[in-house]
Amino acid sequence: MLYKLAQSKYMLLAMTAFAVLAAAAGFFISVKQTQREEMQLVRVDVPGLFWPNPRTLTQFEVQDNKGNVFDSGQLLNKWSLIFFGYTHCPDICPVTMSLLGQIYPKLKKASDNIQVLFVTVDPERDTIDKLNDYIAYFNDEFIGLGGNQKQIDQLTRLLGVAWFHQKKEGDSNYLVDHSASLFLIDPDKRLVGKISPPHTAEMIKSHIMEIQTFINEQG
Amino acid sequence: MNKARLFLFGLLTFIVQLNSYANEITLSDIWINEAPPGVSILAAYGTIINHIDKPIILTNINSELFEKIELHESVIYDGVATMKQHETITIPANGQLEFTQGGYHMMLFSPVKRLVAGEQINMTVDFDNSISISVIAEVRRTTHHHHHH
Repeated sequence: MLYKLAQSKYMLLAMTAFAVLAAAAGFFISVKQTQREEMQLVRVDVPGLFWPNPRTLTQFEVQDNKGNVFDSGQLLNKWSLIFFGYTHCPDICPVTMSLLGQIYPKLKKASDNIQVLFVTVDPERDTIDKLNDYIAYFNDEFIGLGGNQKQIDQLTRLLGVAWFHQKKEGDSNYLVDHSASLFLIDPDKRLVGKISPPHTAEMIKSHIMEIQTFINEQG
Repeated sequence: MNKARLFLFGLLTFIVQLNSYANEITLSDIWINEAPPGVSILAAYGTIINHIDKPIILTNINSELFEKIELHESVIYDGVATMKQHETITIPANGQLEFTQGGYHMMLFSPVKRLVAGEQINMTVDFDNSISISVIAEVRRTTHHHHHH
């Protein structure tokens, strides 16, 4: 009896201790969980971020401004900032390209593996040579991408980029409607961000850096 | 003799009137954005101020250096940039029309040669009521150029 009581006393003590420990552990875990959730909630506010489940860019092949093949392999281990446009575009395209030319040195200082890609949505008029002259004007480290219409379609479809030729019969000066957003690809070839117009140099730079910080924190 | 005098008087009045109109429409800071080599469509910007108590209509812009000049407006809808052509643009009484990057712009087609920053280009801007104003547009480069070594 005495033995049994002692046993149950110990049992009670052990159970109480266990309960206290469990409660403490539960509390600790729940606090951690809330902290993490709060962190995620804050992080989802990164403007233009595609997260979770960003799309990985795999199947595409275009030509760069030197005439070499450019495929998804060229995106690996680099941050890529992509703008779609065409050289006959007199307003939005040169303005955006100038902004990119302005912020590029600063972006490079923040991460030296960043590349700026200009993809033509008008490959018929924008030959590789024309693209080469065009991008070099804004920065000779920029990469111009062209090819045939099929190749361009493949890339625009992958990124969900809209464009529309306003072609009229016999008009060689036709205009093209196109997405004016900037697309950000991470070093794992994932489309992680989109920066919508209207753009300013400061806004492009800060949005890119915020997205980069977020992705780098994910490990 | 009298007829000639009358004609001269009429001509003078006409010139003075033209001038007074010219003073009531100001073209300010008209400039052309220098373009990369090989580019055949350029844009020009600037401000047209109407000091008159009634609206005026911008009807046409000409320059000997371009095949044609059109009036366009960049519009971004749902992230997609498109250009809307305007045959004419009305400038309200005592109002102004601003041509700015990403908004209204003069679209300059097929320059006879490549224009580089610093060049001064003659343009003629026509309004309704046969008002026509000559202006010099400066070619400017807006981009920050990075020199690679």
